[in-house]
Formats: sequence, structure tokens, C-alpha cells
Amino acid sequence: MEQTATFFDTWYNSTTKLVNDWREAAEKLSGEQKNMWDETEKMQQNWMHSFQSMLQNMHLPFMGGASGANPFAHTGMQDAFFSMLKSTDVYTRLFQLWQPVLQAMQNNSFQSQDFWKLIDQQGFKTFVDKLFGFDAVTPVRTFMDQSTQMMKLWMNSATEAGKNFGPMFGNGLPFFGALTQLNPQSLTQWYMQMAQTAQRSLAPFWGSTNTGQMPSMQSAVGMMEQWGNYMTKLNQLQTMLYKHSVSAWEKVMQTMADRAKEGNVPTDFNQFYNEWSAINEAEFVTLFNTDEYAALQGELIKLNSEMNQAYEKQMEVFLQPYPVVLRSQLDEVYKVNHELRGRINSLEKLVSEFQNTQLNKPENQAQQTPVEIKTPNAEENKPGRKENK
Amino acid sequence: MDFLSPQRVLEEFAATTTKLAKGFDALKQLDEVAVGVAPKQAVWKKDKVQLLQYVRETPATARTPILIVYALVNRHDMMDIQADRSFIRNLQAAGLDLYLIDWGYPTPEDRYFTMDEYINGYLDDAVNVIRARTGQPAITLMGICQGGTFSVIYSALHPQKVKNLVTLVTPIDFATPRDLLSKWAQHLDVDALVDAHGNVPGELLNAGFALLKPLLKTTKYVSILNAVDKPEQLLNFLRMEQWIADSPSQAGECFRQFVKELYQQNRLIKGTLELGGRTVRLADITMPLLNIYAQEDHLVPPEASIPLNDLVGSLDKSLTRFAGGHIGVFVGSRSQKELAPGIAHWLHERDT
Repeated sequence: MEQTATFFDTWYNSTTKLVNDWREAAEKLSGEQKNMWDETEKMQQNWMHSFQSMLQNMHLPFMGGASGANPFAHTGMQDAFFSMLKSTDVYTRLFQLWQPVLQAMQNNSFQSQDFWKLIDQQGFKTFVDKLFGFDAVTPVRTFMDQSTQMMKLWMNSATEAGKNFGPMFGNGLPFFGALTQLNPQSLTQWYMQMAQTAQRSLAPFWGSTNTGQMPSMQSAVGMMEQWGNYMTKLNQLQTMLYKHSVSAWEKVMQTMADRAKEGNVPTDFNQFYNEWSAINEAEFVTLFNTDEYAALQGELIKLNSEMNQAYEKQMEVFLQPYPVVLRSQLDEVYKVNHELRGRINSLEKLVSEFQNTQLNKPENQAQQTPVEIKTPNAEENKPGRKENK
Repeated sequence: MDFLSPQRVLEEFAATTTKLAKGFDALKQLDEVAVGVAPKQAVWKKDKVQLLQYVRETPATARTPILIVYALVNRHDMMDIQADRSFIRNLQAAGLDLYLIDWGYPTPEDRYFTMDEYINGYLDDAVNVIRARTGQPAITLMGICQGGTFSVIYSALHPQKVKNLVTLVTPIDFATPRDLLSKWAQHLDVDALVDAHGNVPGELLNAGFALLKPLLKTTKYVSILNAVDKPEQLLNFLRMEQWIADSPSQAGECFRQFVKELYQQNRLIKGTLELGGRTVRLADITMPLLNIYAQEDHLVPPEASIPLNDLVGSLDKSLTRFAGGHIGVFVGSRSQKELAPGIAHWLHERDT
């Protein structure tokens, strides 16, 4: 807690100082200074750099899991602050990307054919990635690189590869957490521990699985093929979004250029952002309502689901020799429980109907209540209570 | 473009950073924001589902009790988001006796629950409990969104237990051109999804809903930075965010059936949906119907709700358009003045 408080105090103080420095610098700038834009750009870059490192660092104490390290009293507030950070990140990146274009428009030197020359294209790609959360799948690429290396190792020595099998899966885990959006931390940690335990205990690894070395290897190779297919589709989706972003940005550019000619331009960046946002949203909603997009999205969800299943299955192979309850076994229990509950419900209904029939008989009519329905006991309970979420 | 002078650029960045720091400070000091706090008590419970009755200080002026059936997606707290923006409290103030079925939070052991068990099981049980408690042979069902679809199906199967049917922002036709969810569902391999996950995670659904308006989240968080020093506005915002994030998982089998038979095959409107061995025929709905849709609804477009009135067998039926979006209908300022009082008036007229 102390460490976190110091971290935040430092961030707060340095941010305040940064802001004061900018204000001071802004006062010193005059229209006659030739390099004023250079200076401004440098300061902006410093700001972005400082903001990015802060954004990166701030995730560590929160996500690391050290209890009590979170400065927020409630996770909802933590989430809200992260959303503020991410939105500010997008907002300021947009500002940076469009600034040269808007400046050219302001100076009447803008030519529409120069639009993409004025936009930092790597910055544009990063921006779209951030907007749609593609930056969160970076671990996938890392994992694929590592997996390719592992394949080479397997070819050389299956025994040696076996020793590394656990960590290899471990490296893929953040990817699964990010994609499935289940509780990534606990899921990842649990699997990591299990994989590491399995690796330590199984010597040699291949010999101790029920299915033996070749089937295990085939299964792993199959999973890698699935990942390859998934990545291919994901790239297609990303490309689709880049293309539509390009189209949307060109529409924004045209709208702004037309407005500039009429002398009707935004007076602050927020106004520009709102215009940009409305045009982009309309463009994306149109894209999302196409069969092409819907089919690709559907394929990605399917591939992701199949990968999850394959992964679960492989983990169960790891864990089979151990005295742990596997998910497939739990599912069987749930299924039987569900069937039993269904039978109980049917029996309860039968009893209830029988009671009603008895009450409806003429000899019992005198005792009849206005509506003959079985009333369960009233039960006081705290409203809105979450149960084993 | 005044904002492009170097001074203004620096000021803009400085202002944004200052707001962010203030936001951090404000959020650090806040604990959980309360939603759905209108007093209520549980009167029945089965598995994770419970029937709640909203506590009244004065006797209800309408005899017929009302069961509110919310969607399985997200939580019913949206209808009671805060004391001065509460659809529930407004209905209560208009003299209605309100019950609500709280579906709870399904856990992995609930993955095999079907739509039949939700509708002919829990919902029917809840209706029976209310009938027994109040002595009324039939009650009013008020269904919202997916809960509206459930209410419609229930009313078709058990018309004798439903005196009035009120539906709000309810999908009936699942294949209309502007329905993005429908478009996506046509290409969804729901078997693969449910087989892999068991229950479908709420976070996954929320991610999908966020894509329907892909820039909304960024825009609203940029906007709220301007209100970090306005506690009331910030709290209102946070309540809504808390509600959005509170997204229960969906029981796998029920989700599978809902997507396949309704979104993909559109069986309800075709009259081919079967539940508990019976065909659901909308023409069997003969009780008075009040169908309310939202003009700017991006989740359930008006065209998805409107056809209900032409398909039911009711002679007394009303179709009402309400300005606003899917959620705005319940939390918007106009809603506070018009929606609940309007529904209450319609129900009072039929409370004979």
C-alpha cells in the first residue's frame, strides 16, 4: 500500500509540475517565434511519452494482484479511471494525428491529395488498434513466435521439447485470458501453476500422458494450426477496420475542408472530436451491418471457442494423473444434477396438481380458498444480493 | 481554428491532464455507488431465482399486481438507477403493487437450464406465487427487452393467468434490416460458443453490445472528464457505468435456444416455436396489450417490436412510441414524467 501511494503521489506531483511547466512555456511563446511549433511539438511528445509510461506503469500495481495495492476503494472506480485513461489516450492521439492536417487547413495550404502525407501512418494504425482493442492481442503474436521456435525444438529432440511444453502453454495463457475475457488473472495463474506443476512432476513428460507421445504432439500441432487460422482471420478483420477507418478519415477530412472554405470551422478540439466521432461511428456501424463483417466476426468467435475447447482438453490430459476434478467431470455432475432437479420439479408440480384436484372435488369445495395455488414460504432476503458470481 | 495556436494546444493538453488528475482524486475517494435501492423484500426463492416485492408505504390503488420480467442480460437495477430517476418508484407512486423476478447470477452448474425451464418453470412459479398471495386469478405481466419476449411467450402459453400484458422495448421479429444483433447472430456458431464456455460470459456479451456503438465509450469518458468536479453528475455517470458492468453470465442452453430458435430461425413470429411440448401461438394472446417501443433503440429497433400488435389475438391493444434509446426510455428525464404515469393510467383503466 505504501509503495502504491508513493507511486501515485509521484505521478500526481510530476503531472502537476508538467502542467505548470506547460502553462509557463505557453505564456512565453509568442507569435513571432519561428520555432514555436517545434517547441510545442516537443512538449506534446514529452506529454505523450510521460502519459504512455504512466498508463503502462499504472496497470502494474492494479493488475499484479498484490492485495491492498489498489488505491481505489471499489473496483468500479478503478475501472472508471482506466476508462478515463484509455479515452484520454485515444483523444490525445487523435489530436496529435490530425494537428498537421488542421494546421494546413488553417493556413489555407491544405491539398486533399496530401492528406495521408500529413498523417503519421504508423500512428494511425496504432490508433485504430487501440480504438478496437487490438493492442490487447499482442501476446498472441509473441506466443506464435515462441511456438514456432518450439516446433523446431521438437523436431530436434522430443524429450527436450517435452520439458518446455509447460512454459510454452504458459506463454499462451494471457492470450486466452484476453480473448475469453473470463477472469484473466485467476484463470491464468491457475493454469500457470497447474502447467508448471505438471512439468515438474512429469519426467519424462511425454511418457506419462495416457495417450502417449505422438497423439500429444499431434494435439499440440493441431492447436497451433488453430492459432494460425485464428491469427489469419484476425488479420483480415483488422485490415477491414483499417480500410474503413481510412474511408471514414477521408470523409472527416472532406467535411473539414469544406467547412474551412466556408469559414465555418470548429473552435475547439472537442468540437472536432465530436464531428470525427459521428462520422466514424456511422461508417463502422455500416460496416458491422454487412454480411462480410458478420461472417468474419462469426468465424473468429468460432475459432476462439474451438481453441478454448482444445486447450481445455489438452489441460485435462496434463492433469489426468492427478487427484483433481476436471472440468469435463464437473460438467457431467452438473448435467446429472440438472436432470435430477428437473425430475423433482416435475414431481412437485404433480403433487401440486393432485392437491388442487382434491380441493376441487365437490366434497372439499367448502374448504376451498379463492385461488388454489401452493404458496412457498416467504423468505426475507437482501435485495440485489450477488450469488457466487 | 483558434484551438490550433501553440498556446491553445498546450492549454488543451494541460487542461486534459488536470482533469484526469482530478478524476483520479475524485474516484479514489468514492466507494461503491448504490443502484436499485428502492425497498423490496424477497417473497419466494428457488435455486438462484427470487421473487421480490417492492415495499409500499400506502396500499396500492390498483387491485391487479404487476410482475416485472427483466431480461437475463444485465440486471434489473437499471429501472431503479437512482432515487430521482426510477421507473420503479414512479410506478409505485402511481399506485401499483410491484413484483420483480430476479434471475440472479448463473454459475457453471446452471449451464443446462433451458428457455422452457425459465419460462414454464421459474416464471410460472413466480406468477403462481403472486396469484396465491394476492388472491387474484390473473396478474399483469410487464416484460422488458428479452424479459418482454419471455412474457409474450408465457402469455401465449398461459393466457388464463395474465390479465394484462405490457411489453417494453421487446424483440418479436428477430430478422429486421437495422437489427445489428440479428445480423451478427445469423453468422454465429452458437453451438461452438456454448460448448466451449458452458455459460456465456457476461463480459463477452458486453463487448458485443459495446461494438454496436463503437465510439460511445471513448466519447462518454472524454465528456465526463469535464464533470469530475461535479459530484452529482459524476455519481449519475458512475451509477450507469456500474449497471453496464454488472453483467451476469447467460445459462448456456437457454442462450443456445434463444439465439438459434429466435434470432436465427425467427420462430416466434413464424408460429413455429415450441416450448414444453407446446407450440407458442401469438394469436393465443387475448388479454389487453400495451406495447411500448423506443424510437432510437439501437438494440431492439422499432421494427422488431411493432409487429406484435398485429400478431396477437387481443382486441384491446395499444402501440406506443417513446422518444429515446433502449435505456433512455427508463432513465431519461422525459420518461420520469411520462412513461410510468402513462403505463399506470392504462392499467388503472383496465383494473376492473
